[in-house]
Formats: sequence, structure tokens, C-alpha cells
Amino acid sequence: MTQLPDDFSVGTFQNLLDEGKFLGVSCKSCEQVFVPPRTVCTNCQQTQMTWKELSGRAVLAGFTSIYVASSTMIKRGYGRDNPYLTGIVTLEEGPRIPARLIGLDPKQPEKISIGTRLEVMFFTEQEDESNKIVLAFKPATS
Amino acid sequence: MGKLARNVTIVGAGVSKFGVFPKRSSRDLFVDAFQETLASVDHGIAPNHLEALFLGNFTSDTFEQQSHLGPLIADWIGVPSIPATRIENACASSGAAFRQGVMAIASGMHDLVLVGGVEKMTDLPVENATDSLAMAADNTFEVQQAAFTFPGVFAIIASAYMDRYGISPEHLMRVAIKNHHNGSLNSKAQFNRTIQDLMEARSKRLTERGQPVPEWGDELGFLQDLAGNPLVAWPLRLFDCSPISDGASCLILASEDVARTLTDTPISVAASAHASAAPLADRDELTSIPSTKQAAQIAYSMAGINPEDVSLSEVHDCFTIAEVIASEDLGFFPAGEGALAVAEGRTNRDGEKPINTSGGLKAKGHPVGATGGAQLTELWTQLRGEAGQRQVPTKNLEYGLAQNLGGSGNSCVVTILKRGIS
Repeated sequence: MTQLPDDFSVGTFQNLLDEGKFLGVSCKSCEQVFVPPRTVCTNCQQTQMTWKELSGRAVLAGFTSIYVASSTMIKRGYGRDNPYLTGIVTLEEGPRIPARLIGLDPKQPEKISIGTRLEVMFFTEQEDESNKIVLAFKPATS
Repeated sequence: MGKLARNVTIVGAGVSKFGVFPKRSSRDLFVDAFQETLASVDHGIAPNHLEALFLGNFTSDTFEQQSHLGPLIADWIGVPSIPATRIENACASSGAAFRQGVMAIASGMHDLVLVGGVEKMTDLPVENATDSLAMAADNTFEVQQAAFTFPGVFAIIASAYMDRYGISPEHLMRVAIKNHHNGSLNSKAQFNRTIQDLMEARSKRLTERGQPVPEWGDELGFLQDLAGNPLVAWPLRLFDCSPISDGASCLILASEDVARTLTDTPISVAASAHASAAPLADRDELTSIPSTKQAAQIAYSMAGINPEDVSLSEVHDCFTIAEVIASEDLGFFPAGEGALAVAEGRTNRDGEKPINTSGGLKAKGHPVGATGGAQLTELWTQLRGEAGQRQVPTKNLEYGLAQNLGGSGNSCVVTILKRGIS
């Protein structure tokens, strides 16, 4: 933790994801937690942040199964016949974050429940040449 | 905060036809709206008296590879030298452009200002139009990381709403049925047809092809059939989504003294409010749009009225769920009861709280940069009693409210219009 630079940027967050690390920040003044990291606290407007380790545990707050996909996702093989799940999860530490949902059936979204317990995973599309790691959540194993 | 230093009056308003027009560019569409607007001014108006243009447009950059649209449009409507500025707040662009015009007149800087909006969307294939619309979301975290599409954003909201309040996708379908019914009475609407009309057309097509026609029963049954109403982003289906559209809207704003020389039936701006909100994940709840609540609160205070004083409204039904939530955030119905109000007919044209008499974004069409101006044009027309077959039957309409959303509610503009000079 201490070796991380105090650069609470989008680039740093992506670099951490690429290393399989999921971190947020907390405001030194009011202790509000933010994920992804940011520099200015929207709660108290102070600008002193510190890195915050996250448990990776979350619950599902809202979700969708996407059948009409973007051009990027179509190139990755998604669309009408191969929908994918995405949504917003509420982290154990409080913040919510948008993330892909893995390990649930995109063709049976009506069987998925808001409040499902989840855990973080670092997901790479097999069809994606950039090998970029994106944040995802899967059903909790414990 | 929240008072106009001078009264602002709308003296003319118009819209182009909304729809799919392969040979008509932004300029052509705006000229259509402009000509109708000029013709709508009671005592006529000389275009060279216009002092400024504020033009709402989301992304002609990607739809037409054209930025810097303001001066081009000013030239095309014959006033090439006036200050012309493009205003971008995603789908709230022309609501925001209208507000810039209001402030320009209220400040005393101008006496006669043209506002409006345009979007030319249908030249791109659907997946590229989907990409362009997704630019209104948080590209880094919502789009690249989480692969949200725009329907996806509102589908997530719908999933949370359905879970919290126990409603079904069928409740949302009622919004589409109502708005298509209103759209069938609006000759400018992209879908100038009821769901019943569309059902009969599909039945005819299937029969002509020698294919079996399902037993749909009624309009709701038709919308429940996934073959004709496929999923876009669960739980939202095709008929929960506003279409991709070409179109333009235009209004002329005047100071009180100038307005008295131009019109016998002035409609004035009682309130103009604009609020912002963080992306969806960073809000206190997913089932309400905080920028709508905040802008509405400011607008009601500015106009000195309450939600019950609003005679009719145009709300931003980019998706059916958005109309339901807007009707709650604007204070027309308690949280969780907006969908039930639609099912009970309370938001019909002849109901207690008419919503989207124009057909809304759903049936009228949603050329995103033009939408806010088109909502205000509908209110202006209704308040003047000139809406023809879709005129709200209530006598003495006094206040009309428009709620114009940008993105998932990252921007919201709420405008209240009033009959007469306030």
C-alpha cells in the first residue's frame, strides 16, 4: 500500500486492475470512500485522499442483459444471439460502481435477483486483442 | 438565485417533421423548423431582426462529421452575421439552449433571440448510432469498463425500479401505448400511428407472406410478443425505447415590449431551471433522478407554483421507465406510483395530469439535440389552444412544464411556461 503513488487518476486505477488489484480511496477529512479513485471529495470538497483496500465483496444493485450491443461488443461476438450482463454493484465499503457481471445467465435475466452477493474478478475478453482487464463481479463463493 | 431580471416571452415556435430523411441534413431540417416558426408569429417577423442564435445539438461531430454547427445554421436561415452558438448537454441540448436564450433576454443583452435544436442521426448504422449515443454516458467507466449502452443504462434503472416497487414490464408497455396514441394525433410525429395500427399492419404483412398471425388480443398482448417487440436491454424492449430520428425544433424568444408588438397570445417563461447529477452509480438511489428533483424544485419556486398547478407536461421519455420516474420526481405522483398512474389513465390526454400529448420522445421521435425545443413547442401550442385534434380538452390551461434530460440525468432542464405575460 505505501509504495503506491498519490496519483488518484484513471490511469493509475487501470494499472492496478491490470495487476489484479482493486483499490479505492478514502478522504482523510471525512472518510468517505470513492471507487474509482478521485482527488476531490464530493462530500466535503477536501483534496487529501489516501488509498483504501477493498474487500471485493458486493451486492447487485441493478443490472441488464444487453441484446443490442455497441460496435466494440459486436466485434467481440456479442449481440442478439449472445447477450451479455452488466450492471451496478454496491461494494461492501459503500460506494457503487458499474461493472460487467460474469457467471450468471444473460439469457435468463428474470432469474437474477437484485441483492445477489457478488465478488470481484478481473475479466479479459478472449476476443479482445488489447487484453485490457475490465472490472467484473461474479456470484460470491463464500 | 432564481429570478428573471426581465420577463421573457415566446412569440413563435415550430418543429420539422421528425423521422428518417436520408436526403435532409441538419441544415435542411432546421430550415423546415425555422420556416414554421416564422409563420407562427401572430403579426409576422422579419428574420433580420433576430439578434442571436443558441442551437442545441448533441453530436453532429459523429453523426455528420460536422462541428461548429451554429454559424452554418445561422447562414442557412439567412442571418449569417448574428452570434450563433452550439450548446451541448447531450439529449438536454436544446432545453439548455432555450435557457441560454432566456438568460440572454432576461439580462437585457438581447430583445429577440432564436433558440432550438437539431440532430441528424439516421445516416449511421444502428451500432454506430449506439456508439454515438453512449458518448453521453461516462465513457471511461460506464462504457469502456462496464460495456453500458444507453438503453442499458435505463434498463439498469428499470431493473432496480421493478425490484423496489414490484411492477412488471407490462406496466412500462402502457407508457408506449399511451404515447403512440398521442403520436397518432400529431402529423409531425415519426410514429404517427397507434400500437393498434402497428399491430394491424404486422398482421397484414404476416398474412400476405402466408405466415400464421398470433392471437395478440389487444395492444398489450402485441407488445408482449417478443417476435414483434424484441429485447434491446432486458427488461427494456424495442417499444420501450425512443427511436433514432432526424428532426429540428425552433422558438423565438422576445422581451416583453417587443413581444407585445409581435403577438396577441403571448406565452411567457415562468421558470427556467437546470441541474446536474453524477453518473448513475454515484447517486443515492437508482430509482430517482436527482437532477430532475433539484431542477423541478428550483422551477416551482421560481414560478411560485406547486406540481398540482401544472396543467400538462412534456417529460423526457427516452425510455418508458424514464417517463414513469420523471412523473414521480416532478412531484405529480408519489415514488413508486408513476407506473400505476399510467395504467389508470391518469396521464392520458384527457386525464387529470396529461403527459406527452405530442407523443413524447417515444412516438414523436427523439432527434436528441432537437428534443427539448420540441417539448417546449408542444407546450406553447397547447397553451395557445392550437393543438388541433390532440388539444388537451381541459379548459383554462395555465401552466405547462417540460423536463428535458441529458444522459442518464447527468443534466436536467425543467422549464415552466405560462399563458399570458407574467
